[in-house]
Amino acid sequence: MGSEERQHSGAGSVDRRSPTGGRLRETRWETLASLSNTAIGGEADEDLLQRFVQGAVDTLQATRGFVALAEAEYGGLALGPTAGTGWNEETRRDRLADRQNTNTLTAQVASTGRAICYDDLNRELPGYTPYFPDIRSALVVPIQLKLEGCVRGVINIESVREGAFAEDDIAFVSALADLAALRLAMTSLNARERALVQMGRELSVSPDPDALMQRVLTITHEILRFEDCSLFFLEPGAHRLVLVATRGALTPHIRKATYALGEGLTGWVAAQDVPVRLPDPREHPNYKGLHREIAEGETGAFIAVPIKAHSGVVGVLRALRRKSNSPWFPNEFTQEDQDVLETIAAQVGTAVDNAQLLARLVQSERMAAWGEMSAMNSHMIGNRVFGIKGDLNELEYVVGKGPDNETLSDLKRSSVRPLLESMKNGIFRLEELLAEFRDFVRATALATAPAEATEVTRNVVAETFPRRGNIILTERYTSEPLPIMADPIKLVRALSELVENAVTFQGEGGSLEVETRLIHPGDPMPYAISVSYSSPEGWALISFSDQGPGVPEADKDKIFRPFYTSRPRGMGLGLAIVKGIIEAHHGGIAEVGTEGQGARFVIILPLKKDIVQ
Amino acid sequence: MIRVLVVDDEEEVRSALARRLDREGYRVNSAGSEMEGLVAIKEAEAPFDVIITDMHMMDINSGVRILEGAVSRDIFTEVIVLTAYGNVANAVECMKRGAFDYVEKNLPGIDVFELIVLKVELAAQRRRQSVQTLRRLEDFQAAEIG
Repeated sequence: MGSEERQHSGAGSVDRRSPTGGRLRETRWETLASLSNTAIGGEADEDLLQRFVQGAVDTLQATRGFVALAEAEYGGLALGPTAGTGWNEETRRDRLADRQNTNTLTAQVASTGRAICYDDLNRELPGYTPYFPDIRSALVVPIQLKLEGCVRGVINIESVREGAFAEDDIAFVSALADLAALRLAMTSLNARERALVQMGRELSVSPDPDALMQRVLTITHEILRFEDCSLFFLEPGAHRLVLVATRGALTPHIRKATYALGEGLTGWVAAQDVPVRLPDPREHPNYKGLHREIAEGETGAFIAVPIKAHSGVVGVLRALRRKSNSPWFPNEFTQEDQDVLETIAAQVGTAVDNAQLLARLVQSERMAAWGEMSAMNSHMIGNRVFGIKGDLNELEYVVGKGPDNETLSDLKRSSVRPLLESMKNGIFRLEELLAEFRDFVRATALATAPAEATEVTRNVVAETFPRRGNIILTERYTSEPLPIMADPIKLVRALSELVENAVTFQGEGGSLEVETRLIHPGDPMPYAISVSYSSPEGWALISFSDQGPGVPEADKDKIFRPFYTSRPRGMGLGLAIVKGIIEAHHGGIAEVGTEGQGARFVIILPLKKDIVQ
Repeated sequence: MIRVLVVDDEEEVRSALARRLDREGYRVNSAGSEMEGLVAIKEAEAPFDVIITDMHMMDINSGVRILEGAVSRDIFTEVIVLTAYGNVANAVECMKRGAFDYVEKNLPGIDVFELIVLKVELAAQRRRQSVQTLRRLEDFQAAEIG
């Protein structure tokens, strides 16, 4: 071993240690100056740390040295660059391989964040067996920014000589470690910033939401170093979170794994609209372990933040780390990690808002195009129809009690009559379509006046619900007043459509449950209804539930699109008209029922308390 | 004989209305535009009893201008406004300015010609009553002066 040391020292570029120390101090100063200059250069972190450890070993004329870097994912230490003698493939692999062993100098410094220096390990730590049995002196210094609190790594310098390191040496290596810490912190902050900027850019341009959400996780992973990460979105119109993107074990469960709002820790985060950051999710009373990225016993640090859009919480972003192998070196998520995750969640929330805004814009442009077309055509079509109706009226007169009816045989008259009736019906149908079309086009032009939501609803039900028939009607109205600004004709038209829908789709039997409710300002929306306005005074909620076939999950949004219909009658504009009217009232509508159990349409309208009746 | 003027820029509408009203025994004139209509109102030997006009011809206010022209010729001429379905706002404006009534051209399920015949009849009645009331008032005043 002694020969190795000589060999190494001979290979080094610095002079042997001077007994006076003066020359040595100068050498250290030069090394430090040159290395700190390198630290602000363009070299990669790995190369820089290599220079540091080599510089330390050379300058201190030590036997060997290495850098250990903290792995946030596992809470362990990984071997970084090495210098000096004794390193080969085997020693490099094994030096920090025993992660369970916390009883090493490196682990101790990593967990305490305090530098240690031993002059004679045999004497000072009897019973301690170092990995390299030849060493006598050890100098171990943490790579750490005090303001961050966590240790990023360790610089470990060893010597076969006794008392190899003096006070100056500790200061020298500490200075290198501080430079390394600054550099590593800068690198990760840069990466963070780049990733966040990149995410913001991608979120604003990407057309494919699924690929985009997967990208969000990839970028989040680059920033946050974790074992796994999952993104859940609140299903529109439903009370549950659905997994939309993940990285590991849960991948087969994308679009399948769900949490009811409030269920489990993830559901709790969405329901309460608060972030959660724990060293172990099982500590939380709401933890259920329903869908696990990591096996139950292995899950360590957990962090979940709500994703907020204009309409409230729209999802949850969560990340997990495997339980730390080293009890001395925890891998909990830090407040900074939480800040970053919340920033990402805010960006995703904004993207959701933008997507909804875009969808609305497309919808409204479509509506405007229809409007133009309608204005040009329906007037002309209407006039043609009017003319045909005139002809039919005349024909009816001629066939019936006309002046020259004697000339028409009874036989002819009886064969013309049904044709006439059929033509009249056809014309009426055409007029119904025209009417539907114009209602659709005019849905958003309102003439509003103060109204009360429950009163309007009650009147609509009284007028529209068939008196005869075997559908059971239940009305549950709030006793609290629900003052709104409404176009009475249009709102009645919208609500009537929903009552009529419920009645037609149920056929024989069934039930209709009508409800009104007050949603106080600041209360969470009971359903995921997207609205483009906020209402400082709260909302009036009107809901119609039936026991008809309901709406398949995949169609819940489609049913509100123009020309979407499952009925032979009409143009398929009914619900598009309803939606147009409700949104023109600055409200929102969603279908939140379960297929097979019935449809449930929920409308919310902004309350306007200060209006004078 | 009751004189009716039909103003509409659509030939089918004019002829269908003229034919139907003719069957009821009205004397029907028609005009194919707002301008023609105003000229007809101005130049008619005796004012029309009832005028049926489309709301929207040259622009959305054509009906209003026909109404103004009619009333300035004879305050008792009754005007019925035809509108497209659902376009009630302007019709209501016409009512405020003294139109007799409005009829939506394409009301589903309704025989609009029978409806128009009924309205024309009611309009004619009201005009008759108004004119009679005026005459009686004039007679009364004349008697007082005399």
